[in-house]
Amino acid sequence: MALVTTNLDGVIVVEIPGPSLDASNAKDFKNEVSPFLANEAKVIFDMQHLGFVDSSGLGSILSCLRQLNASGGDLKLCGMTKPVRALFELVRMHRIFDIYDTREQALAAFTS
Amino acid sequence: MDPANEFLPYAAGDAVFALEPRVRKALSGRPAEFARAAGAALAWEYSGNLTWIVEQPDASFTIVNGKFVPRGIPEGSGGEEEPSQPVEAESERGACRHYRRIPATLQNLLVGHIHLCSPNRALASGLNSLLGCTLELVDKERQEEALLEELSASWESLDALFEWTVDMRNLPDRQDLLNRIVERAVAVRAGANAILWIEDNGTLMPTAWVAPAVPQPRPLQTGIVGRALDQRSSLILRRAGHLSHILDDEPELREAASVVVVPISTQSQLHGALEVWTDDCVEDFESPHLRLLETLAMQAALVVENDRLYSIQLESERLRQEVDIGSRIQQSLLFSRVPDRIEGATIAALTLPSKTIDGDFYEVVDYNPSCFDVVVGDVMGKGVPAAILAAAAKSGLFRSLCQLMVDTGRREIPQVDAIVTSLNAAVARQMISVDSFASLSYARFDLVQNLVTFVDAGHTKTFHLRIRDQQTFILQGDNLPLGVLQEEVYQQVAHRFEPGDLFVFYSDGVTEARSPSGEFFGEYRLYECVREFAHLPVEGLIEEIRAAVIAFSQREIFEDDLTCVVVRINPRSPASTETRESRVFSSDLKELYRIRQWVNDLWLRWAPRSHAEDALYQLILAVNEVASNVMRHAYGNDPSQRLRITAWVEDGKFCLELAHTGIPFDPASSRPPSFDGTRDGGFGVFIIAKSVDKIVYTRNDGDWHTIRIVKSFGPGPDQTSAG
Repeated sequence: MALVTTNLDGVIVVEIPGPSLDASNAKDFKNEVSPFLANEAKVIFDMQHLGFVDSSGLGSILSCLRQLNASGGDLKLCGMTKPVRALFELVRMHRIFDIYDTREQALAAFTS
Repeated sequence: MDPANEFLPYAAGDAVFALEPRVRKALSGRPAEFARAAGAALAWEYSGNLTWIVEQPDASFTIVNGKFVPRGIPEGSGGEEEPSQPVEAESERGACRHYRRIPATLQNLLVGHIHLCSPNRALASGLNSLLGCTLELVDKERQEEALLEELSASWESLDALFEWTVDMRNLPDRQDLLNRIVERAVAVRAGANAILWIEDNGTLMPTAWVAPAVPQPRPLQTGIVGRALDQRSSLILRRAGHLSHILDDEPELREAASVVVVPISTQSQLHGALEVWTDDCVEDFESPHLRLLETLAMQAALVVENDRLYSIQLESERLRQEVDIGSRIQQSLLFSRVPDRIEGATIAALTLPSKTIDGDFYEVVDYNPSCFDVVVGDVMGKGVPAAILAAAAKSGLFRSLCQLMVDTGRREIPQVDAIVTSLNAAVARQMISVDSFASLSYARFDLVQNLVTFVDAGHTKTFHLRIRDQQTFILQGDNLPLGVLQEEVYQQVAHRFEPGDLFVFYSDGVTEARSPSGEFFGEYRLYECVREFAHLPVEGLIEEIRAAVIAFSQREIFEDDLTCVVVRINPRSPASTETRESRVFSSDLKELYRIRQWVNDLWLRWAPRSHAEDALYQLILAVNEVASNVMRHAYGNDPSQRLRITAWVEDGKFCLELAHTGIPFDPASSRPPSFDGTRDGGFGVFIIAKSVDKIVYTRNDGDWHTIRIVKSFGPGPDQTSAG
């Protein structure tokens, strides 16, 4: 899994590749993204390419959030498609994550 | 012969003693007047003692120290030769020489003799007649007095009866009434004692008494009382003291002078005896006493009999009420109304109540149009306890259902084996403590899979008739009945059926209904009846079963309850089978994408125009989670394994069945998810449950285990969770 990452004024934006994050690739994603979750890192996951996330995918994203929270960093999500948003709401994760429609909004939230 | 030596019968002595003053007094009246006027002598002899009534100096006899002494009576004409015969002595005219000794007899008792001496024969005859009349008068007077006495005694008895009747009305208690009877009995005579004995299993129990010492229970055939009971007639003993040899068993009579024993009995039954006695001999018990005591004994018999009948009535009333309560429990709690909204099946139930109440019960639980449970049970025993246990079993059933649903935290319906295991754990202690148990047949009908999953807990064999080829199947397991072992784990068995098939559940009351000759109705007759009338609607079929059992047993009221539930799976509409596809995938997580794609395509192909897009997302989520669970857990990530997925539309819903041959997946074994982000896993089962209308896990005996999910095309009930 090839992650496209961008560093914008100290905020790392990770584009999660599509089309899905499920049991088949969640572990890979976890391994790939881990290096970007250093101490006090500010990270945005851009999910616009993900048409589907399952419980394993969700678990991997949740794991990233916990890792960052533990080291004083932060994670924001943006660009969710409808099915993914539906999953997050189904398991009430929209209350745990900071979710923004666009990358710009997420960045603004970090800089403000 | 000395009149003093004349024999008087013992019993007559007292009567003579009572009569003598009357006779003497009567003689001093008109006979004495007549004798004086006629110059005749008159003397009265009683118990060998003579006294003058009218003395004449020239009489042919005189009295010296109460003894008869003749005075110049010619030889051969003395009255001593034949004292009981009138004696006449010829003498000179004018002199008082005509002597007679006349016996004075009253009530056939010789009271004494009258000595008569008159101047001539005519006078003697006249006086003789007068004496006869006088004695007769005395007798009549005495009779009149006796009648008056009796009348007065009758009045007293009547009075006593009246008071007694009042008591009867005012004293409701048997003991009070018997106490009062004894009080009345001792009032019959001053100084009387009484014991009222009531027989209880061959023993006489002193039930009420007025006596110096507390009487003790004794065997029925004891002493004088025993004799009276044996002969079933009243018994009077005067001067009972000399009977000491039979009084050892009846210490109360040791000093008794006079005893009356009256049996207490009704026409059909001997209840006991009323024993009354006195220790003094002032007055014996006489027939009026006896009559009153007999009346009291009859009253005592009435009290005892009344009490017995009252107890019987009370008991039968209690039984009747119990039956009433029981049948109300049964009708309202134990027999459910058969739900009419099950779309895929029709159900009819028959209950024929028995004389008493049984613990038969049934329940139909419908979860959705294509899934329902039929539960038929029978609690051992009869009466209200059985009905209450059955009600407890039913409430336990619902509690277990609710508890299992809460425990899993999912919307899926608990497995049949889990329900019965949980139900048994809940009711076993209760049942064991009252030595009861319940047989149960629990069947879940899955009209999507055409599968019945059932637990047979020692119940009658459930009967399945496959309509297509008229083949019959017996659904039977080997689980213990409920309430035998608290920790018993129940096993379920799955069985395929086809649309149109029939299932018959019944209680043993049906197969064990007996013909007049004692033969059982049996399973065979039941099956034959079902086969013969299988073409009828279920209501008609059940009516035929009822008629067959009644015709066989030739009665309409049975020893046991008859319970019978018939289920007919509705024939499936042809349209529903057209939308059906099946595909096999390898157990590789990379296949998840293909599975999602395939389901997505089928949905879009089959869904009505108005389908909800969110519903599709949810279904895809659920399928993905189920498949990924199977691949990871059932197959242990072994990509060489196969996963078969079948999809179809039924009742306007999208149905999916995932079948695998791996380790049966138990959704209950996974930890519930944490929603605060502190844990990564645990969402899968939750997601499945939240995403679909229904999920059924089936562990089959064969190779394939299945997980079926149903999702309606419209908005799911959980759409609101987004808020």
